Amino acid sequence: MTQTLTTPEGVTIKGTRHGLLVCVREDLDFDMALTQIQEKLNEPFFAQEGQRVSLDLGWRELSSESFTRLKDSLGTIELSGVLSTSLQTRTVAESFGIKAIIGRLGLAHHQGRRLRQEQKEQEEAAKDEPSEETPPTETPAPSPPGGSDEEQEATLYIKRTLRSGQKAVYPGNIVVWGDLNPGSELEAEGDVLVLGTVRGRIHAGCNGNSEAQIYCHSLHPTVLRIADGIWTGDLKEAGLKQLPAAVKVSCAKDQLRFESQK
Amino acid sequence: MSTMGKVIVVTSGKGGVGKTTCTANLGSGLAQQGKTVVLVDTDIGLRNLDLVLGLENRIVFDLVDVIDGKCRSFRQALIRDKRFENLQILASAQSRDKDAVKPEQMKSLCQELKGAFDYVLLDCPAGIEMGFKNAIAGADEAIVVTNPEVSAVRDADRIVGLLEAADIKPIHLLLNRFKPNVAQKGQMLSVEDVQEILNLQLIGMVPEDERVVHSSNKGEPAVLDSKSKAGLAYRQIVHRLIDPGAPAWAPEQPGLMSKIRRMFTVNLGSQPN
Repeated sequence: MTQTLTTPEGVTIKGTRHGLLVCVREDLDFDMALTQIQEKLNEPFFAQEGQRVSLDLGWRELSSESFTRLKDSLGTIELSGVLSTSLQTRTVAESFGIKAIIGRLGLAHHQGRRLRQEQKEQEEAAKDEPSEETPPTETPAPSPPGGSDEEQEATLYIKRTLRSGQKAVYPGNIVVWGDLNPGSELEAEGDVLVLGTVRGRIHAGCNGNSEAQIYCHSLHPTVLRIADGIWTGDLKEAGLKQLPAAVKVSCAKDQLRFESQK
Repeated sequence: MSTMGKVIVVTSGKGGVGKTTCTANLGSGLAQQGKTVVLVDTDIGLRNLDLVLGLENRIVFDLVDVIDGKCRSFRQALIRDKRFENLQILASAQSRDKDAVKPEQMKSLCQELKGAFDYVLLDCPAGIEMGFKNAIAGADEAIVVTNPEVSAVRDADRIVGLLEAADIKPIHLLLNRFKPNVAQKGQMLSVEDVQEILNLQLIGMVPEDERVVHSSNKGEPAVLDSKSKAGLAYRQIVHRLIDPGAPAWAPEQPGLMSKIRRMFTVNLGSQPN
Protein backbone atom coordinates (compact mmCIF):
# COMPACT_ATOMS: atom_id res chain seq x y z
CA MET A 1 0.00 0.00 0.00
CA THR A 2 2.75 2.46 0.87
CA GLN A 3 4.28 2.15 -2.52
CA THR A 4 1.13 3.27 -4.20
CA LEU A 5 0.98 6.19 -1.85
CA THR A 6 4.48 7.43 -2.39
CA THR A 7 4.25 7.36 -6.16
CA PRO A 8 0.62 7.13 -7.12
CA GLU A 9 1.37 7.11 -10.83
CA GLY A 10 4.46 4.91 -10.89
CA VAL A 11 2.74 2.19 -12.82
CA THR A 12 -0.03 3.01 -15.22
CA ILE A 13 -2.10 0.64 -17.24
CA LYS A 14 -3.37 1.58 -20.64
CA GLY A 15 -5.79 -0.34 -22.76
CA THR A 16 -4.68 -0.91 -26.33
CA ARG A 17 -6.13 -2.92 -29.12
CA HIS A 18 -3.60 -5.60 -28.21
CA GLY A 19 -4.61 -5.98 -24.60
CA LEU A 20 -3.24 -4.09 -21.65
CA LEU A 21 -0.03 -2.10 -21.76
CA VAL A 22 1.58 -1.74 -18.35
CA CYS A 23 3.81 1.32 -18.30
CA VAL A 24 6.44 1.32 -15.58
CA ARG A 25 7.94 4.71 -14.85
CA GLU A 26 11.65 4.57 -15.52
CA ASP A 27 12.81 6.24 -12.32
CA LEU A 28 10.63 4.06 -10.10
CA ASP A 29 12.45 1.76 -7.71
CA PHE A 30 12.40 -1.80 -9.12
CA ASP A 31 10.96 -3.49 -6.03
CA MET A 32 8.34 -0.82 -5.77
CA ALA A 33 7.50 -1.31 -9.43
CA LEU A 34 6.96 -5.03 -8.86
CA THR A 35 4.65 -4.40 -5.94
CA GLN A 36 2.69 -1.80 -7.85
CA ILE A 37 2.31 -4.03 -10.90
CA GLN A 38 0.94 -6.79 -8.71
CA GLU A 39 -1.46 -4.41 -6.99
CA LYS A 40 -2.68 -3.07 -10.30
CA LEU A 41 -3.21 -6.47 -11.83
CA ASN A 42 -5.07 -7.62 -8.74
CA GLU A 43 -7.73 -5.03 -9.36
CA PRO A 44 -10.76 -6.86 -10.69
CA PHE A 45 -11.07 -4.24 -13.38
CA PHE A 46 -7.78 -5.34 -14.94
CA ALA A 47 -7.72 -9.01 -14.15
CA GLN A 48 -9.82 -10.48 -16.92
CA GLU A 49 -9.52 -13.99 -18.26
CA GLY A 50 -7.19 -14.33 -21.18
CA GLN A 51 -6.10 -10.71 -20.98
CA ARG A 52 -2.97 -10.02 -22.99
CA VAL A 53 -0.44 -7.92 -21.16
CA SER A 54 2.55 -6.03 -22.56
CA LEU A 55 5.12 -4.05 -20.61
CA ASP A 56 6.53 -0.64 -21.42
CA LEU A 57 9.82 -0.42 -19.56
CA GLY A 58 11.29 2.72 -21.12
CA TRP A 59 15.06 2.89 -20.75
CA ARG A 60 15.14 0.70 -17.64
CA GLU A 61 17.94 -1.88 -17.91
CA LEU A 62 17.04 -5.28 -16.56
CA SER A 63 19.28 -8.23 -15.82
CA SER A 64 17.87 -11.66 -16.61
CA GLU A 65 17.52 -12.18 -12.88
CA SER A 66 15.35 -9.12 -12.39
CA PHE A 67 13.43 -9.96 -15.54
CA THR A 68 12.55 -13.34 -14.03
CA ARG A 69 11.26 -11.55 -10.94
CA LEU A 70 9.24 -9.23 -13.12
CA LYS A 71 7.74 -12.17 -15.00
CA ASP A 72 6.95 -13.93 -11.73
CA SER A 73 5.20 -10.84 -10.40
CA LEU A 74 2.70 -11.18 -13.23
CA GLY A 75 1.74 -14.57 -11.85
CA THR A 76 -0.45 -16.54 -14.21
CA ILE A 77 -0.83 -13.65 -16.61
CA GLU A 78 1.11 -14.28 -19.78
CA LEU A 79 3.39 -11.53 -20.95
CA SER A 80 2.86 -11.00 -24.65
CA GLY A 81 5.49 -8.37 -25.36
CA VAL A 82 7.95 -5.80 -24.10
CA LEU A 83 8.60 -2.25 -25.21
CA SER A 84 11.95 -0.80 -24.25
CA THR A 85 14.59 1.54 -25.51
CA SER A 86 17.27 -0.42 -23.68
CA LEU A 87 19.08 -2.97 -25.84
CA GLN A 88 19.93 -5.03 -22.77
CA THR A 89 16.33 -5.24 -21.63
CA ARG A 90 15.18 -6.25 -25.08
CA THR A 91 17.89 -8.89 -25.39
CA VAL A 92 16.97 -10.32 -22.01
CA ALA A 93 13.27 -10.36 -22.90
CA GLU A 94 13.97 -12.10 -26.17
CA SER A 95 16.10 -14.70 -24.39
CA PHE A 96 12.89 -15.56 -22.50
CA GLY A 97 11.10 -15.96 -25.79
CA ILE A 98 9.15 -12.75 -25.41
CA LYS A 99 8.74 -10.43 -28.32
CA ALA A 100 10.56 -7.19 -27.63
CA ILE A 101 10.49 -4.03 -29.68
CA ILE A 102 12.23 -0.72 -29.36
CA GLY A 103 10.12 2.14 -28.17
CA ARG A 104 8.46 3.96 -25.35
CA LEU A 105 4.76 4.45 -25.14
CA GLY A 106 4.74 8.07 -26.20
CA LEU A 107 7.06 7.40 -29.09
CA ALA A 108 5.46 4.10 -30.04
CA HIS A 109 2.05 5.67 -29.99
CA HIS A 110 3.23 8.48 -32.20
CA GLN A 111 4.99 6.15 -34.62
CA GLY A 112 1.96 3.91 -34.74
CA ARG A 113 -0.26 6.79 -35.67
CA ARG A 114 2.12 7.97 -38.38
CA LEU A 115 2.41 4.50 -39.87
CA ARG A 116 -1.34 4.09 -39.85
CA GLN A 117 -1.71 7.43 -41.56
CA GLU A 118 0.82 6.43 -44.23
CA GLN A 119 -0.88 3.11 -44.72
CA LYS A 120 -4.20 4.81 -45.14
CA GLU A 121 -2.80 7.19 -47.70
CA GLN A 122 -1.25 4.31 -49.61
CA GLU A 123 -4.51 2.42 -49.59
CA GLU A 124 -6.36 5.43 -50.85
CA ALA A 125 -3.80 6.04 -53.54
CA ALA A 126 -4.07 2.41 -54.60
CA LYS A 127 -7.80 2.68 -55.08
CA ASP A 128 -8.88 4.37 -58.28
CA GLU A 129 -12.04 5.70 -56.80
CA PRO A 130 -11.82 6.17 -53.06
CA SER A 131 -15.29 5.05 -52.03
CA GLU A 132 -15.82 4.90 -48.32
CA GLU A 133 -13.14 6.17 -46.07
CA THR A 134 -11.83 3.45 -43.85
CA PRO A 135 -12.02 4.53 -40.26
CA PRO A 136 -8.44 4.69 -39.01
CA THR A 137 -9.26 2.52 -36.04
CA GLU A 138 -9.91 -0.42 -38.32
CA THR A 139 -6.59 -0.31 -40.09
CA PRO A 140 -4.03 -2.53 -38.43
CA ALA A 141 -1.80 -0.81 -35.94
CA PRO A 142 1.76 -1.93 -36.48
CA SER A 143 3.59 -0.85 -33.39
CA PRO A 144 2.52 -2.54 -30.14
CA PRO A 145 3.73 -6.08 -29.58
CA GLY A 146 1.58 -9.12 -29.57
CA GLY A 147 0.16 -8.74 -33.07
CA SER A 148 -3.63 -8.80 -32.98
CA ASP A 149 -5.63 -10.75 -35.51
CA GLU A 150 -9.18 -9.76 -34.83
CA GLU A 151 -9.74 -6.30 -36.19
CA GLN A 152 -12.98 -5.41 -34.51
CA GLU A 153 -13.08 -2.20 -32.63
CA ALA A 154 -11.97 -2.61 -29.07
CA THR A 155 -14.00 -1.14 -26.24
CA LEU A 156 -12.85 -0.13 -22.79
CA TYR A 157 -15.38 -0.60 -20.01
CA ILE A 158 -14.95 1.60 -16.97
CA LYS A 159 -17.19 0.29 -14.22
CA ARG A 160 -16.86 3.18 -11.78
CA THR A 161 -17.13 6.94 -11.53
CA LEU A 162 -14.24 9.01 -12.84
CA ARG A 163 -13.35 11.70 -10.33
CA SER A 164 -11.65 15.04 -10.87
CA GLY A 165 -8.13 14.62 -12.25
CA GLN A 166 -8.74 11.08 -13.52
CA LYS A 167 -8.40 10.53 -17.22
CA ALA A 168 -9.00 7.57 -19.49
CA VAL A 169 -7.33 7.39 -22.89
CA TYR A 170 -8.16 4.53 -25.21
CA PRO A 171 -7.60 3.82 -28.91
CA GLY A 172 -11.12 2.46 -29.32
CA ASN A 173 -14.56 3.02 -27.81
CA ILE A 174 -15.15 3.84 -24.15
CA VAL A 175 -18.17 2.88 -22.08
CA VAL A 176 -18.48 4.33 -18.58
CA TRP A 177 -20.80 2.65 -16.07
CA GLY A 178 -20.75 5.57 -13.70
CA ASP A 179 -20.50 9.34 -13.65
CA LEU A 180 -17.93 11.65 -15.15
CA ASN A 181 -17.33 14.15 -12.39
CA PRO A 182 -16.23 17.70 -13.20
CA GLY A 183 -12.51 17.76 -13.91
CA SER A 184 -12.37 14.22 -15.33
CA GLU A 185 -11.51 13.48 -18.96
CA LEU A 186 -12.21 10.81 -21.54
CA GLU A 187 -10.26 10.54 -24.76
CA ALA A 188 -11.28 7.84 -27.23
CA GLU A 189 -10.43 7.22 -30.84
CA GLY A 190 -13.90 5.74 -31.26
CA ASP A 191 -17.31 6.37 -29.69
CA VAL A 192 -18.09 7.24 -26.11
CA LEU A 193 -21.10 6.05 -24.12
CA VAL A 194 -21.67 7.23 -20.56
CA LEU A 195 -24.42 5.69 -18.47
CA GLY A 196 -24.16 8.14 -15.57
CA THR A 197 -24.11 11.90 -15.26
CA VAL A 198 -21.65 13.71 -17.51
CA ARG A 199 -19.94 16.73 -16.00
CA GLY A 200 -16.41 16.00 -17.23
CA ARG A 201 -14.83 16.46 -20.63
CA ILE A 202 -15.15 14.02 -23.48
CA HIS A 203 -13.14 13.85 -26.69
CA ALA A 204 -14.42 11.18 -29.06
CA GLY A 205 -12.66 10.40 -32.31
CA CYS A 206 -9.58 12.09 -30.92
CA ASN A 207 -7.43 10.87 -33.82
CA GLY A 208 -9.55 12.83 -36.27
CA ASN A 209 -12.36 10.30 -36.75
CA SER A 210 -15.33 12.61 -37.29
CA GLU A 211 -17.70 9.63 -37.52
CA ALA A 212 -17.34 9.06 -33.81
CA GLN A 213 -20.34 9.68 -31.60
CA ILE A 214 -21.05 10.48 -28.00
CA TYR A 215 -24.10 9.13 -26.23
CA CYS A 216 -25.10 10.15 -22.72
CA HIS A 217 -28.11 9.80 -20.48
CA SER A 218 -27.58 12.87 -18.38
CA LEU A 219 -25.48 15.60 -19.92
CA HIS A 220 -24.57 18.76 -18.08
CA PRO A 221 -22.92 21.71 -19.83
CA THR A 222 -19.27 20.71 -20.34
CA VAL A 223 -16.71 20.57 -23.12
CA LEU A 224 -17.48 17.90 -25.69
CA ARG A 225 -15.23 17.26 -28.67
CA ILE A 226 -15.60 14.96 -31.64
CA ALA A 227 -12.57 15.01 -33.95
CA ASP A 228 -12.08 18.76 -34.55
CA GLY A 229 -15.58 19.82 -33.52
CA ILE A 230 -15.84 21.48 -30.12
CA TRP A 231 -18.87 22.33 -28.01
CA THR A 232 -18.29 24.42 -24.91
CA GLY A 233 -21.56 23.87 -23.12
CA ASP A 234 -23.54 26.64 -24.83
CA LEU A 235 -27.15 25.55 -25.22
CA LYS A 236 -27.92 28.08 -27.94
CA GLU A 237 -25.02 26.81 -29.96
CA ALA A 238 -26.37 23.31 -29.62
CA GLY A 239 -29.74 24.55 -30.85
CA LEU A 240 -31.48 23.37 -27.70
CA LYS A 241 -33.64 25.08 -25.12
CA GLN A 242 -32.54 22.64 -22.48
CA LEU A 243 -30.42 19.55 -22.47
CA PRO A 244 -32.56 16.47 -23.08
CA ALA A 245 -32.31 13.53 -20.74
CA ALA A 246 -30.70 11.27 -23.31
CA VAL A 247 -28.70 12.76 -26.13
CA LYS A 248 -26.67 11.53 -29.05
CA VAL A 249 -23.94 13.83 -30.25
CA SER A 250 -22.37 13.55 -33.67
CA CYS A 251 -20.14 15.77 -35.74
CA ALA A 252 -20.75 17.39 -39.10
CA LYS A 253 -18.33 19.90 -40.62
CA ASP A 254 -16.58 20.49 -37.32
CA GLN A 255 -19.89 21.34 -35.64
CA LEU A 256 -21.45 19.10 -33.03
CA ARG A 257 -25.02 18.03 -33.65
CA PHE A 258 -27.31 17.12 -30.78
CA GLU A 259 -30.15 14.67 -31.19
CA SER A 260 -32.39 13.98 -28.26
CA GLN A 261 -33.20 10.32 -27.79
CA LYS A 262 -36.38 8.91 -26.43
CA MET B 1 -4.44 -1.00 25.25
CA SER B 2 -5.29 -4.32 23.76
CA THR B 3 -6.72 -3.21 20.43
CA MET B 4 -5.08 -0.91 17.95
CA GLY B 5 -6.41 2.60 17.52
CA LYS B 6 -7.61 4.22 14.32
CA VAL B 7 -5.56 6.58 12.20
CA ILE B 8 -7.83 9.14 10.53
CA VAL B 9 -6.50 11.76 8.16
CA VAL B 10 -8.39 15.06 7.91
CA THR B 11 -7.87 16.39 4.42
CA SER B 12 -9.49 18.61 1.80
CA GLY B 13 -7.27 19.51 -1.14
CA LYS B 14 -8.23 23.15 -1.05
CA GLY B 15 -6.86 25.35 1.68
CA GLY B 16 -8.89 27.35 4.16
CA VAL B 17 -11.89 25.04 4.37
CA GLY B 18 -11.30 24.27 8.04
CA LYS B 19 -9.14 21.15 8.28
CA THR B 20 -7.17 22.36 11.28
CA THR B 21 -10.26 23.62 13.09
CA CYS B 22 -12.01 20.31 12.45
CA THR B 23 -9.01 18.32 13.68
CA ALA B 24 -8.80 20.35 16.87
CA ASN B 25 -12.54 20.14 17.50
CA LEU B 26 -12.95 16.46 16.73
CA GLY B 27 -9.87 15.68 18.81
CA SER B 28 -11.19 17.62 21.78
CA GLY B 29 -14.63 16.09 21.31
CA LEU B 30 -13.23 12.56 21.27
CA ALA B 31 -11.17 13.33 24.36
CA GLN B 32 -14.29 14.67 26.07
CA GLN B 33 -15.90 11.28 25.42
CA GLY B 34 -13.04 9.66 27.32
CA LYS B 35 -11.02 8.40 24.34
CA THR B 36 -7.26 8.70 24.23
CA VAL B 37 -6.41 10.90 21.29
CA VAL B 38 -3.30 12.21 19.62
CA LEU B 39 -3.44 14.97 17.02
CA VAL B 40 -0.56 15.13 14.56
CA ASP B 41 0.05 18.30 12.60
CA THR B 42 1.59 17.11 9.33
CA ASP B 43 1.67 20.58 7.80
CA ILE B 44 5.43 20.94 8.13
CA GLY B 45 6.56 24.54 7.76
CA LEU B 46 3.10 25.99 8.39
CA ARG B 47 2.38 25.05 11.96
CA ASN B 48 -1.18 25.88 13.05
CA LEU B 49 -2.78 23.15 15.08
CA ASP B 50 -1.03 24.14 18.31
CA LEU B 51 -2.39 27.69 17.97
CA VAL B 52 -5.98 26.58 17.61
CA LEU B 53 -5.61 24.60 20.83
CA GLY B 54 -3.65 27.37 22.55
CA LEU B 55 -0.55 25.23 23.08
CA GLU B 56 2.08 27.12 21.12
CA ASN B 57 4.33 27.89 24.06
CA ARG B 58 4.59 24.30 25.18
CA ILE B 59 6.30 22.98 22.06
CA VAL B 60 9.80 21.69 22.72
CA PHE B 61 10.13 18.89 20.18
CA ASP B 62 8.21 18.50 16.95
CA LEU B 63 7.31 15.92 14.31
CA VAL B 64 10.61 16.26 12.43
CA ASP B 65 12.57 15.83 15.68
CA VAL B 66 10.71 12.58 16.33
CA ILE B 67 11.36 11.30 12.82
CA ASP B 68 15.01 12.34 12.89
CA GLY B 69 15.39 10.65 16.27
CA LYS B 70 16.33 13.85 18.09
CA CYS B 71 14.19 12.88 21.06
CA ARG B 72 14.13 9.58 22.92
CA SER B 73 10.67 8.53 21.75
CA PHE B 74 7.58 10.15 20.33
CA ARG B 75 6.25 10.45 23.86
CA GLN B 76 8.80 13.10 24.68
CA ALA B 77 7.49 15.31 21.87
CA LEU B 78 3.82 14.97 22.74
CA ILE B 79 2.17 17.99 24.31
CA ARG B 80 -0.66 17.42 26.73
CA ASP B 81 -3.77 19.51 26.17
CA LYS B 82 -4.72 22.12 28.79
CA ARG B 83 -8.24 20.76 29.25
CA PHE B 84 -8.05 17.03 28.66
CA GLU B 85 -5.38 14.74 30.01
CA ASN B 86 -6.13 12.12 27.39
CA LEU B 87 -5.59 14.54 24.48
CA GLN B 88 -2.07 15.06 23.21
CA ILE B 89 -0.68 16.80 20.19
CA LEU B 90 2.43 16.33 18.10
CA ALA B 91 3.28 19.68 16.55
CA SER B 92 4.90 20.06 13.16
CA ALA B 93 8.23 21.81 12.58
CA GLN B 94 7.98 25.45 11.64
CA SER B 95 11.45 25.90 10.17
CA ARG B 96 11.55 22.87 7.86
CA ASP B 97 9.60 21.88 4.77
CA LYS B 98 7.59 18.90 3.54
CA ASP B 99 10.65 17.05 2.23
CA ALA B 100 11.95 16.63 5.78
CA VAL B 101 9.73 13.57 6.15
CA LYS B 102 9.23 10.50 3.97
CA PRO B 103 5.95 8.59 3.63
CA GLU B 104 7.53 5.38 5.02
CA GLN B 105 8.65 7.27 8.12
CA MET B 106 5.17 8.69 8.62
CA LYS B 107 3.74 5.23 8.22
CA SER B 108 5.89 3.72 10.92
CA LEU B 109 5.19 6.67 13.23
CA CYS B 110 1.44 6.15 12.72
CA GLN B 111 1.88 2.46 13.54
CA GLU B 112 3.57 3.37 16.82
CA LEU B 113 0.98 6.00 17.68
CA LYS B 114 -2.02 3.80 17.03
CA GLY B 115 -0.62 1.23 19.39
CA ALA B 116 -0.78 3.81 22.16
CA PHE B 117 -3.96 5.79 21.42
CA ASP B 118 -7.61 5.12 20.52
CA TYR B 119 -7.59 7.78 17.83
CA VAL B 120 -4.77 9.31 15.82
CA LEU B 121 -6.00 12.35 13.88
CA LEU B 122 -3.69 13.66 11.18
CA ASP B 123 -4.10 17.27 10.13
CA CYS B 124 -3.19 17.20 6.44
CA PRO B 125 -1.76 20.19 4.56
CA ALA B 126 -3.59 21.65 1.56
CA GLY B 127 -2.55 20.41 -1.86
CA ILE B 128 -1.77 17.00 -3.32
CA GLU B 129 2.01 17.10 -3.17
CA MET B 130 4.56 15.63 -0.77
CA GLY B 131 2.77 16.88 2.36
CA PHE B 132 -0.42 15.14 1.33
CA LYS B 133 1.40 11.93 0.43
CA ASN B 134 3.12 11.96 3.81
CA ALA B 135 -0.13 12.56 5.66
CA ILE B 136 -2.07 9.75 4.01
CA ALA B 137 0.78 7.21 4.13
CA GLY B 138 -0.19 5.84 7.52
CA ALA B 139 -3.92 6.57 7.47
CA ASP B 140 -6.63 3.92 7.79
CA GLU B 141 -9.60 6.21 7.28
CA ALA B 142 -10.15 9.71 5.98
CA ILE B 143 -12.40 12.66 6.67
CA VAL B 144 -12.67 14.89 3.63
CA VAL B 145 -13.59 18.41 4.68
CA THR B 146 -15.26 20.60 2.11
CA ASN B 147 -17.24 23.81 1.91
CA PRO B 148 -20.38 24.22 -0.16
CA GLU B 149 -18.40 25.93 -2.92
CA VAL B 150 -17.67 24.66 -6.42
CA SER B 151 -13.91 25.02 -6.03
CA ALA B 152 -13.77 23.21 -2.70
CA VAL B 153 -15.96 20.39 -4.00
CA ARG B 154 -13.82 20.02 -7.12
CA ASP B 155 -10.66 19.72 -5.04
CA ALA B 156 -12.36 17.33 -2.65
CA ASP B 157 -13.31 15.12 -5.60
CA ARG B 158 -9.67 15.01 -6.71
CA ILE B 159 -8.61 14.11 -3.18
CA VAL B 160 -11.21 11.35 -2.97
CA GLY B 161 -9.84 9.90 -6.19
CA LEU B 162 -6.34 9.83 -4.72
CA LEU B 163 -7.57 8.38 -1.42
CA GLU B 164 -9.43 5.63 -3.26
CA ALA B 165 -6.29 4.86 -5.26
CA ALA B 166 -4.39 4.60 -1.99
CA ASP B 167 -7.01 2.15 -0.68
CA ILE B 168 -8.04 4.30 2.28
CA LYS B 169 -11.57 3.57 3.38
CA PRO B 170 -14.05 4.49 4.62
CA ILE B 171 -13.86 8.07 3.42
CA HIS B 172 -16.21 10.33 5.37
CA LEU B 173 -17.49 13.65 4.10
CA LEU B 174 -17.66 16.64 6.41
CA LEU B 175 -19.45 19.66 5.01
CA ASN B 176 -18.09 22.69 6.80
CA ARG B 177 -19.25 26.31 6.99
CA PHE B 178 -22.69 25.42 5.73
CA LYS B 179 -25.31 28.18 5.69
CA PRO B 180 -28.75 26.58 5.62
CA ASN B 181 -30.67 29.75 4.77
CA VAL B 182 -28.34 30.68 1.90
CA ALA B 183 -28.53 27.16 0.50
CA GLN B 184 -32.31 27.32 0.85
CA LYS B 185 -32.38 30.33 -1.48
CA GLY B 186 -30.28 28.41 -3.98
CA GLN B 187 -27.34 30.81 -3.69
CA MET B 188 -25.03 28.15 -2.33
CA LEU B 189 -24.54 24.50 -3.16
CA SER B 190 -26.95 22.36 -1.20
CA VAL B 191 -26.03 19.17 0.62
CA GLU B 192 -27.66 17.23 -2.22
CA ASP B 193 -25.55 19.05 -4.82
CA VAL B 194 -22.35 18.20 -2.97
CA GLN B 195 -23.44 14.62 -2.36
CA GLU B 196 -24.36 14.15 -6.01
CA ILE B 197 -20.80 14.82 -7.08
CA LEU B 198 -18.81 13.34 -4.23
CA ASN B 199 -21.10 10.42 -3.43
CA LEU B 200 -19.59 9.79 0.00
CA GLN B 201 -20.97 8.91 3.41
CA LEU B 202 -21.81 12.25 5.04
CA ILE B 203 -20.50 12.22 8.60
CA GLY B 204 -21.93 15.62 9.38
CA MET B 205 -22.46 19.24 8.52
CA VAL B 206 -21.03 22.11 10.49
CA PRO B 207 -22.92 25.38 10.16
CA GLU B 208 -21.15 28.67 9.65
CA ASP B 209 -20.67 30.14 13.10
CA GLU B 210 -18.78 33.25 14.09
CA ARG B 211 -18.05 31.69 17.43
CA VAL B 212 -15.74 29.21 15.73
CA VAL B 213 -13.41 31.96 14.54
CA HIS B 214 -13.49 33.55 17.95
CA SER B 215 -12.80 30.33 19.81
CA SER B 216 -10.00 29.35 17.40
CA ASN B 217 -8.32 32.68 18.02
CA LYS B 218 -8.67 32.21 21.75
CA GLY B 219 -7.28 28.71 21.52
CA GLU B 220 -10.44 27.09 22.84
CA PRO B 221 -12.15 24.61 20.51
CA ALA B 222 -15.81 25.36 19.70
CA VAL B 223 -16.81 21.79 20.51
CA LEU B 224 -16.56 22.68 24.20
CA ASP B 225 -18.78 25.75 23.82
CA SER B 226 -22.24 24.55 24.76
CA LYS B 227 -23.91 27.57 23.13
CA SER B 228 -22.23 27.20 19.77
CA LYS B 229 -24.19 25.60 16.93
CA ALA B 230 -20.97 24.50 15.30
CA GLY B 231 -19.90 22.97 18.60
CA LEU B 232 -23.12 20.96 18.65
CA ALA B 233 -22.45 19.76 15.12
CA TYR B 234 -18.93 18.72 16.07
CA ARG B 235 -20.23 16.78 19.06
CA GLN B 236 -22.60 14.96 16.70
CA ILE B 237 -19.73 14.08 14.40
CA VAL B 238 -17.71 12.81 17.34
CA HIS B 239 -20.57 10.48 18.25
CA ARG B 240 -20.75 9.27 14.68
CA LEU B 241 -17.02 8.62 14.64
CA ILE B 242 -17.36 6.49 17.75
CA ASP B 243 -20.63 4.89 16.66
CA PRO B 244 -21.37 5.12 12.93
CA GLY B 245 -25.06 4.53 13.61
CA ALA B 246 -25.52 7.78 15.59
CA PRO B 247 -27.86 10.36 14.00
CA ALA B 248 -26.49 13.14 11.82
CA TRP B 249 -27.09 16.78 12.51
CA ALA B 250 -29.95 18.16 10.44
CA PRO B 251 -29.66 21.77 9.34
CA GLU B 252 -32.25 24.09 10.75
CA GLN B 253 -34.78 25.15 8.15
CA PRO B 254 -35.85 28.76 8.44
CA GLY B 255 -39.63 29.13 8.71
CA LEU B 256 -42.50 28.15 10.91
CA MET B 257 -41.13 24.75 11.73
CA SER B 258 -37.81 26.11 12.89
CA LYS B 259 -38.67 26.23 16.56
CA ILE B 260 -39.84 22.64 16.64
CA ARG B 261 -36.82 21.54 14.63
CA ARG B 262 -34.50 23.38 16.95
CA MET B 263 -35.95 21.53 19.92
CA PHE B 264 -35.47 18.30 18.04
CA THR B 265 -31.87 19.14 17.14
CA VAL B 266 -30.96 20.14 20.66
CA ASN B 267 -32.47 16.93 21.94
CA LEU B 268 -30.31 14.91 19.63
CA GLY B 269 -27.29 16.86 20.72
CA SER B 270 -27.73 16.44 24.42
CA GLN B 271 -28.85 12.83 24.29
CA PRO B 272 -25.50 11.04 24.14
CA ASN B 273 -23.70 13.26 26.65
